[in-house]
Amino acid sequence: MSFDWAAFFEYLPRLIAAAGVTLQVSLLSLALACLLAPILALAWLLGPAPLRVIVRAFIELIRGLPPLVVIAFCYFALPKLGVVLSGFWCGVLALGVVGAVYAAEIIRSAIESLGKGQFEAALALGFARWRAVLEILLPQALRRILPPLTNEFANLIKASSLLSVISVHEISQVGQSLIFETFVVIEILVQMAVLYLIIIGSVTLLSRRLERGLGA
Amino acid sequence: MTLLAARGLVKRFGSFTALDGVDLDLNRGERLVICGPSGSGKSTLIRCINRLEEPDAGTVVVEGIPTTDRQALRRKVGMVFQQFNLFPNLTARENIAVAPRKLLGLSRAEADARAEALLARVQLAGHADKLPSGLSGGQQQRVAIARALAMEPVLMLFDEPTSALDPEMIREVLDVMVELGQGGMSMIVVTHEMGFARRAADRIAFMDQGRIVAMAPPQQFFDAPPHPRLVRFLDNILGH
Ligand SMILES: Nc1ncnc2c1ncn2[C@@H]1O[C@H](COP(=O)(O)OP(=O)(O)OP(=O)(O)O)[C@@H](O)[C@H]1O
Ligand SMILES: [Mg+2]
Repeated sequence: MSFDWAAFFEYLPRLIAAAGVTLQVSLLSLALACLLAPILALAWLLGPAPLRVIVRAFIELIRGLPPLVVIAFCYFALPKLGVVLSGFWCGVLALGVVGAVYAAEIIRSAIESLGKGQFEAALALGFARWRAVLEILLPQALRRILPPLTNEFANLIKASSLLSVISVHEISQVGQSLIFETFVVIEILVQMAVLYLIIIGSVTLLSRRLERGLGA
Repeated sequence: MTLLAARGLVKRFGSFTALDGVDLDLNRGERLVICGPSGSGKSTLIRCINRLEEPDAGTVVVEGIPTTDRQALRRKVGMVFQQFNLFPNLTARENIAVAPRKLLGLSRAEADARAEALLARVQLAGHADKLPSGLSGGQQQRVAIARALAMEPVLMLFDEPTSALDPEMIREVLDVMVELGQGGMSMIVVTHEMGFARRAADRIAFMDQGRIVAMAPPQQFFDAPPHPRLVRFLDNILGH
């Protein structure tokens, strides 16, 4: 069996377009996760007891489910509740929420590991509790948070392949249908792999940069 | 003249009563030392003053500050902890400048200038760029004092500020505190440094089992201890 370069270049543009969709879904869900995670972590750390229970239950629930189930829920169940989203935005929402709960857990445990002393010092200076966490403790926990967070975000990008089941035209969906259309298997799989590696690799690289920027 | 008035403070932890009805007044510019055996409620008392602990009963009024606004209260009441509690990712300068910048709206340049001036005041000019890990315990505690002063408090609380220090570093911290008191700062200092109390305090309070059981100026406190349990306490810590 030989590698068919003609086929490789014929289908490459369609997969690159799909990679654009994967990138968009990933970045948007990443942004959503970055927005939601600190809010969830703050609610877990500082919220009144009933809110803490609800937030913890929500986080445990999402963490306990395969991402595919969360995606399917957003796509098939949300419309029954009156929330109709396109496949694309469903994907962003589902992956964003999944990413957020994992990130929230990472943030919470890093902040708790800092101990009470610095938190109290910030309070004694006059910081409100949430500002003490966000402005004093979080920057300090960042170096501990970033490596596991990068892992989670890489997982998030991989999980975007699951959006093929709700017909989002991302890399996996387009690759799969091309394979079934054309029976060109290896060339397309190689393209898919390379494109995923490029996207995940850049995110990882970026975060290593950030880590180094935060100092040794 | 009265700066601080605490009335009927009660604090319970579960079924244990840590503060059992404490009244305390402090005049502007006054320096009060609090001593007493371990577990007598000293920390709890000063933590109720800036509401790091919420008392179960009683009131604390610091002149001119509404008691309902904890943040406003804490901005006007500085606190120094036994374990320094500096922010380890920030340099000495940033430790001091961060609160004025974020809470008082000072520009970075203004806050840095304030930090530098305070570092000089606690004899640490030239250490501004060091991280806490690069400073000795005594130096860290002086940075912590400067950090609290940066908010321009009307009252400073100290909770055993020298207990975590090696003996040779105690002096440098106490000297800064004496100077602060001489400069007119109102202070409440929990400490067992009786030399400091004699040198710097206007009054000394003795706590036992959640109450202030004796309070007197230093002379009388040491020479004619006004309570039998205080006599025993002084015998113990002065090693008679
Ligand atoms: N958060 C808490 N939970 C439960 N018990 C507490 C708590 N804080 C203080 N206590 C108890 O309240 C009592 C008074 O504590 P406090 O720290 O005020 O004593 P202290 O006079 O400062 O003692 P020390 O000299 O050891 O610092 C102690 O018996 C302590 O065990
Ligand atoms: Mg104590």
